[in-house]
Amino acid sequence: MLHCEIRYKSYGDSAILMQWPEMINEIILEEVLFCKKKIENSSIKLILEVVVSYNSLLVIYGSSIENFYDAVLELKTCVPELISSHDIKKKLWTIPVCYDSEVASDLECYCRFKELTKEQFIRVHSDRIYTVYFIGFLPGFLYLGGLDEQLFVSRKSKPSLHVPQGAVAIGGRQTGIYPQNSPGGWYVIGRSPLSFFDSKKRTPCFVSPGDKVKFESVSVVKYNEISFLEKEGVYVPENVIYEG
Amino acid sequence: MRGEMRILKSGMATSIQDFGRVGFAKYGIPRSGVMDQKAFVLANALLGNTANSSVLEWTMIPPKLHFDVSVNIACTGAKVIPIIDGIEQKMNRQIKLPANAILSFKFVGKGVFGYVAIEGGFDVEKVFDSASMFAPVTKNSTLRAGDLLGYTNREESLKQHAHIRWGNSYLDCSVLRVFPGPEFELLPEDGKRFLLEKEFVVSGIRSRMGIQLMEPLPYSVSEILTGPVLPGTVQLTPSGRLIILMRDCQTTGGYPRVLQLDDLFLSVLAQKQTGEKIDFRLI
Repeated sequence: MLHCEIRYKSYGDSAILMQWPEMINEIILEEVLFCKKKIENSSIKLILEVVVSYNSLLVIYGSSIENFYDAVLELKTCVPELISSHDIKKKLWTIPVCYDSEVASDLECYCRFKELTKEQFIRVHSDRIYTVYFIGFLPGFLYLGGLDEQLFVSRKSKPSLHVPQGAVAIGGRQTGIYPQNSPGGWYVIGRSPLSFFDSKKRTPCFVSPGDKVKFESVSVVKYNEISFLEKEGVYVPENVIYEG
Repeated sequence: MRGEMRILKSGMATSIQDFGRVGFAKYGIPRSGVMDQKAFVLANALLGNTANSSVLEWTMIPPKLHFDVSVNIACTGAKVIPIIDGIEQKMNRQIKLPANAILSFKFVGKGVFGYVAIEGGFDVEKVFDSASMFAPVTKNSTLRAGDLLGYTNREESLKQHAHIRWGNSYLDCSVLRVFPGPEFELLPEDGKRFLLEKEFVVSGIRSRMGIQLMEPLPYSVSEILTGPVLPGTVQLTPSGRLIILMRDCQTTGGYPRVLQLDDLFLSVLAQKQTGEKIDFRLI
C-alpha cells in the first residue's frame, strides 16, 4: 500500500484531480511521481497529459469523461501497491550562483533585514540540497523544497516589475530561480548564469521533478565566464546520480 | 503559389494562433491557443482547411493587412465589416482576395477577438506542436507592423456552394455553464449561493492569461498548496476577487479553485467586453 490516502475529484468534465494530503513532503513527492509514471505507461486511452504539483496529479483526458466512477476505478488499477523508489533515477545538479550585490539587487537589504552577514547567508543558502518538486508558474521555473527556516521571509509588499532572467530569489518558505525576465515578489539574493528554459530543445528544461539541486557560490568573474559559455551553448551543467 | 501577407498596422495584441499546445505543462509551458475556438473552427471550415490550421487573432482593434498573391480568406469572431480595397464585404464567409489586396476592418462593437483565416493556414514554424505565439516558447507574443507571414494559395478554386449554418448568438449569451471546482466545497453555503446566483461584471483587468471580475465575493477560503490549474478555472483570491483563467494561463496556481468553466463557454467569455455581465450556472 501507499503511505498516503489519495482523494479523487472531478475537475471540469475532462480531467480528474488526484490529491494527496496537503503538505510539502518527499514521501508524497515520490508517490506522486511514481503514480504519474504508472498512469502514463498504462493502457488507459484518451489521457492527454498528467500534470504534477506538490501533492496532486491532474489527469487530463482528450474528451469528456463518460462515467467519473469508472474512470476513477481505472486510475486506481494503475496506482501501485508498493512504491519502488529505485525505479526513478534522480540527479543532483550543481547550479552556479553569484551572490554579489552587483547582480543581486536585494541581497544587502535582505541580509540586513534577516540580521545575517553576507557570508553567513551564503553558507546557509548554498549548504543545502534542494528537492525539485515540479515545474510551473513560468516555463522552466523550478518549485524547490528544502529552504532553511532561518532564511524564510515574507514576500515583498510591492512586487518588483522587473526581475531578470537567472535571478535566484527567496519568497515565503521557498527559494527559486527566475527562468525569464518577469515581474516578481521575491527577494533577489543571487544570480545564476544558467538558462533553465530553452525552447529550441525538445526537452527544454534540463532538470526534472524529483531531481536535487545544490547552489555553488561563484565570483562575478566566474559568473561572466559561465554566462558566455552558456550563450555559446557549450556549458554543460554539472550533475551526478543522486543516491539519497 | 507562394504569397506573403504584410502587417501594415498591427491592431492590438495581434498574434498567430491555433488550438495551442497540450502535453508540455511538465515544463511550465501554458496551453495557449485561440481565445474563441468556435470562431476558429468556423473560419477554417469555411476555407476547407484542416481543423488546426493557424489563423491571425486580433483584440479589440483590428489590423490592416496587405496580401501580394490572390488568396481565399475568411473573417470570423468579433463583429466587423471587412473592407477590401475600399469595398465592404461580409464576415463568416469565404472572401476571394485579388493580388495586392489591402484588407482593413470596421469594428462594429460586439465581441473582443477577431480572426483572419487563410486557405492552408499561414506558413509558420510550430514550436512544441503549435504555431500559437507565447514568449518565451516562441520568440514574440505578438505581431508588429512590417512583419511578413507566408501562405500558399491552392491552384484550383474553392467550392463556393458549400453552406455552413452558423449562428453568432453565442456572442449574446451571458450564462456560463460551470462545474464545481476542487475547492468549491470549502466555501460556506452563503458563499456558494452568492457565487451561483449573483451577476458578475467583466472588469478591465484582463489579458490572454485571465479575466478578473468586478464584484468581489464577500467570502474567502484559505490559500492552497500550489496545484494544477487549467484554462477555465475560476480562482478566488484572498481579497475575494474572482479570476477566470484563460488560454495563456500558468500551469499551476495557489488560489482556491472554486469553479471550472465548461470548455465551450470559454469562447463565450473571451468575447465579453469590459462591463458586460455574466452569471454562472452549475451543470
